[in-house]
Amino acid sequence: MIAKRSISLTVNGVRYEATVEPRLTLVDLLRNELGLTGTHVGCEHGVCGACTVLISGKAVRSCILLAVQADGADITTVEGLSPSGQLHPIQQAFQEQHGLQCGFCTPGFLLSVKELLADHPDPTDEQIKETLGGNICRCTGYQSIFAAVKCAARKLADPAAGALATGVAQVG
Amino acid sequence: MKPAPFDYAAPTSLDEAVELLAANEGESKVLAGGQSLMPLLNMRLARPGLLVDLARIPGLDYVREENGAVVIGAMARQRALERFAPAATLAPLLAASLEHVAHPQNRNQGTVCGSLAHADPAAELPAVALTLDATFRVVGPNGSREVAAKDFFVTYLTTVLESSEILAEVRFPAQAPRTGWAFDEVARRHGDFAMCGVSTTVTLDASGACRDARVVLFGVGATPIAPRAPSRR
Amino acid sequence: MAVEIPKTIADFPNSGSRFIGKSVKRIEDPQLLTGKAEFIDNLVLPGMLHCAILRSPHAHARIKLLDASKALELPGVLAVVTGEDALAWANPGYTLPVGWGCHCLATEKVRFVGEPVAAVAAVSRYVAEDALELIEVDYETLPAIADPFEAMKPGSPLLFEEKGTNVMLARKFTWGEVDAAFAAAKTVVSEKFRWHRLGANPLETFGVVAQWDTTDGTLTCHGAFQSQSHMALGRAMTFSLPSNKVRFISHPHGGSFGGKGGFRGTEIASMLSRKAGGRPVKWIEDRIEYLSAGAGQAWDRHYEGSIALDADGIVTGFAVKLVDDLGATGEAYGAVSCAKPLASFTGPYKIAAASYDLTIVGTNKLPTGAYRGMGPPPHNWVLESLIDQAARQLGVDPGELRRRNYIPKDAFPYTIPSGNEYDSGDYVAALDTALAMSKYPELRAAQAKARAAGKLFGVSVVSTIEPGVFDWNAYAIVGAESTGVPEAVTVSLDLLGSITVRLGFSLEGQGQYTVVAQVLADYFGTTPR
Repeated sequence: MIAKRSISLTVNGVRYEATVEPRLTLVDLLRNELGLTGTHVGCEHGVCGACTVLISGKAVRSCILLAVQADGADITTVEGLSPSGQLHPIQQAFQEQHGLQCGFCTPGFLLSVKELLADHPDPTDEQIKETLGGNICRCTGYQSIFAAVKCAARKLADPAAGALATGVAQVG
Repeated sequence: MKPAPFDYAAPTSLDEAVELLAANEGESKVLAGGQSLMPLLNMRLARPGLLVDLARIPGLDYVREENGAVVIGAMARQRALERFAPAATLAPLLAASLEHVAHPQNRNQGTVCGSLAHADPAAELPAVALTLDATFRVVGPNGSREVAAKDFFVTYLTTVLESSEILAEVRFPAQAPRTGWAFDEVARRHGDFAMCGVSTTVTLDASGACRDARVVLFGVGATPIAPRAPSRR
Repeated sequence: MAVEIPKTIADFPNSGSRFIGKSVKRIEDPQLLTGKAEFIDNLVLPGMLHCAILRSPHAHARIKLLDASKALELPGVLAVVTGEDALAWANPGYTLPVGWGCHCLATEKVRFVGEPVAAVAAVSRYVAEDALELIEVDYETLPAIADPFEAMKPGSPLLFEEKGTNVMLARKFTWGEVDAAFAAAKTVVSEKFRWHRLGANPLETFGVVAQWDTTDGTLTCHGAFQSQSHMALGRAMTFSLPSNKVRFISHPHGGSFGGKGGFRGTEIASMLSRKAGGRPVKWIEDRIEYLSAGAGQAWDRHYEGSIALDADGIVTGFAVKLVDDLGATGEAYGAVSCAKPLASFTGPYKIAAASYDLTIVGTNKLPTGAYRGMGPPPHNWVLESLIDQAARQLGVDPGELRRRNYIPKDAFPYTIPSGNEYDSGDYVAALDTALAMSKYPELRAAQAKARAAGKLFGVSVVSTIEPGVFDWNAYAIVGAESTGVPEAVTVSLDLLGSITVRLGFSLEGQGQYTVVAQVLADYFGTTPR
């Protein structure tokens, strides 16, 4: 029997301690042990990006990272984007630009985009494409996700301008 | 798709890591970024008894310039190399190849040395190492040794590394002056494993005559392949 | 109080539509954007176990020995099921064509790679997968067939020996005087077409949490079901349970595309729950399972098609011969997709006579399923390709040849030869609009110029009728005793004035809930919130 390991990590600003088998993947820790089910499992071999989370601000695949590797890590998941329930500007942009259909891939996209816009507040088209290339969406095609990233950049730079630029009617 | 059980060790020095590997000879496997190893574990295609994680060893995550060469430590992420500005002038072929290595989200975690030691025949970095005559510093129970890129890759997913050895550092010499280069690959989708690819350099002498020309193909054999130097017409 | 269900917006009791047709923000988005939507893998029930399935590595083999005793000894394993349990507790799954199926776990032999042969329920998926490695199976491999034409030959290996053939269904439909149309034709265009097998690949695979209440014999399944009523009735049949003791609850889907399936997995998880004393059992299909043995593969087809045209370029007859390679069984309802084209067999064209020679053949491949709209695209491709070839042969512009053959707008309602009635349409206007939007003459000029310069430049005109999802008789055509899928909508108004809608489908990504809210808001004259 292989001994379990004690680890501690910070997720969305909350510190957690856990005792895990070495083989437990980070995504299974987040979802099954910590109850943070917004991070999704799509391919379990690092290809689809549904499980993308941020570690110290950098987007990584949590399905091909062991929980023990994340000992001491500072992690952000989709639950950390809108802690008060108010959508983050990137989330608002995805909704306004129809950057999602089924929404299963969306948490991964949001975190990849969060890293991109932190590094490049005004990203080039090529930088956006390079980032989005790491996440697979099977519903929308990527044009509206691309538009959502541009919209999110505008919103983050100037929240008022971002809202104006979308041109989508509000209900009610 | 869950890994079979394995034990895990996170040594804090290279010596300790080598000792762990030697004590579990044949059963142990080095873990760096894990971007190649973890999919194999999840699919239960790799079945190590012990993973020796290098990430807790201080001082292995460097990318630096030394005497004109780009020198990369065992735990330096591919993204760190991407952001190491001097690489674009010292070894532009190396810098340019990185955008083909999976996706930014993988490169944030994946290491340069890990990709080289994994030796996937469709991977980009082994081909670039072969093209640029990189040198590998390997540490093991008997100390340290240097291996030239042309001697490093043996066959599919296999290098000259013994099971208790670690690729501690790779050194990419600066591309010579008057060297042109190109890197391209064919993949189903940008960032996927290449179905085939090519890494190439041409160096001219002061008179404009070709002094050296290299073509390395990858994804087409058990290792990156350097066909005999193109002969002069 | 009986309420007349309106057929169009004009019949709504409130005039002045305000939400239908408007661009609105989707009401389902906040949940999806924040990761709070309850996809099936998020569901955790008390005492829940995790299932992993052992699958056949062979396309065709007899199971000589299956020993799961070591798996049961592994700490953390609570139940193992095999074909023996399936024989004891379940009937073979209902198939189309009827009678071409087997139990959810192989009983005597396996017929495709990935067919389930045993399954484990354990405290985690990790332990369940460990246990699979301890199950011993001894196979005697049998000759496998991958080609439907080989499968039809006398002496071919048989999927179901008792049937004496691999031909699951052979029906020829003839509507009108087809032979006469071809005999009298000025021009006949014939071609063979091969549409290769393809597959859906939603980012979320199928998943289910099954709980068999062993006290009162009730089965409750939460899952990513694409048509939960259909699934519930089917499982009632499989387990010989009263249909009012089977409850299916569908969760949002991370994409479907017809590829969710899950019949076998649901039955296997249900049996494991029963065997584990009623503890809930979760099975999440992983990506390898999905790609090798999931439900989204479809349309493995071999066509021969012909059209007959008169001297004016009017299509007078359309004959299609289809050999459909259904795979190993009829369990995934790919056969429905051979029948579905009857809903719009002759497309938008006024073709008086048609025939459909349909042969559905079994091979040792994954059973094909209900991929995307369930069948018309390959049929449309055959018809449209033939129209294009005729246009080339006659030297007529392909847009013009289509225009000549469209059902004229004053002919609606129009009944096509295969029996379906089209209610309305103005196809010429639609074509003219599309050609104007695409600047068709300029495209043709650019094409001529490019081709003169030795470049490839394609321009295509295609017109098809999309018949929607479940039509009137596609199931019956391939042998089902029932028609379509029994789904219903219930709208209720509570004491506080809030409107609640109960639907027979769940979120699949197309904003269905938003659409429902828009429709109801306009019907009741209210505002969706």
